[in-house]
Amino acid sequence: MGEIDLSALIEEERRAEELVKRAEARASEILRRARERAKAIVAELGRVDEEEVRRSELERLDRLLRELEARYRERIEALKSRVASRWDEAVDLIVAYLLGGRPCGRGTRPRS
Amino acid sequence: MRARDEAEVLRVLVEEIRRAAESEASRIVEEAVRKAGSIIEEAKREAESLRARRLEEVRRRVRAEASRKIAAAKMRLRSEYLSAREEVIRSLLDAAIERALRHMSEGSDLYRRGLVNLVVEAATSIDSSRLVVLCNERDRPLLAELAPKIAAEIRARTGRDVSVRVADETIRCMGGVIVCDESGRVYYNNTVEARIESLRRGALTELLRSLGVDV
Repeated sequence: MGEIDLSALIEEERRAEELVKRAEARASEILRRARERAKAIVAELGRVDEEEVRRSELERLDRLLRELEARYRERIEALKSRVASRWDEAVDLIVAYLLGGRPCGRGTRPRS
Repeated sequence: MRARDEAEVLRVLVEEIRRAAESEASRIVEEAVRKAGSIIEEAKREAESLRARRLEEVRRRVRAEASRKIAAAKMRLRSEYLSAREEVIRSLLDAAIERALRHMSEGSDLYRRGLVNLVVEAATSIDSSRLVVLCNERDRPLLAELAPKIAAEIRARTGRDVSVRVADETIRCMGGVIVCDESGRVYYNNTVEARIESLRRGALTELLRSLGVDV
């Protein structure tokens, strides 16, 4: 029985180890680049142009104020229109009240 | 034959070692690629969240800076609305007072009936059988004429027998009456001025609401 030549086997194991080490190094490089890219992403996408935001927020607030102003103007016009539509009846009703209607004041007058 | 078998076994073993190594290497790289993908995705989420926080922070700062301006604008609008409302109410009241004054100066039927109502309304609130009515100089003769009718009206409405006397002294008012008991301590102010004041204090809003007009 002759001896088995294991040198090929040993060589292959060495190559295998190298292959795995290269893979690990590549993996490490992939992760390093990913982390770098991640930092860049956070810095880039997380950036806010304060002046732009300020300008747009002020515009939004101005718009809201203009809308509010318009709503108030509408309310005023609606109020005037409601009263105008029943003006004569309202005046009649007030006259009737002034000239004798509901109670409006009572009390005890102190002696002077 | 044996040497060939040994060589074959070695070849298989070598092959197996190579395959295993290649597989492990692939797994390591694939795992790294997968992790890298996760890192990038996580970074995007973090960036998004960071951006949202920064945006909100800047907006909050701007809103705080602008809050005084906004509050002042709201107050101005509210004040403009109230002024417009006041103006509408004042116009209505002016028109009504003007018409009421015409009725009063003409001694119209409406005012004569109104005077009776004003005294009766006051009388029902004063627990006395002797009532004194104070009015302006213009209305004194009219009330003296209406006094019996007023007493009858009080009796009809309340079942009370009441004497109604128009005071010699007069008061300064547009119209209407002050009714008091004989001592002059308990009184009921039903002058037109008192009724105008009552309208201003809120009765007008109620009156208009009864017409379906909200002010």
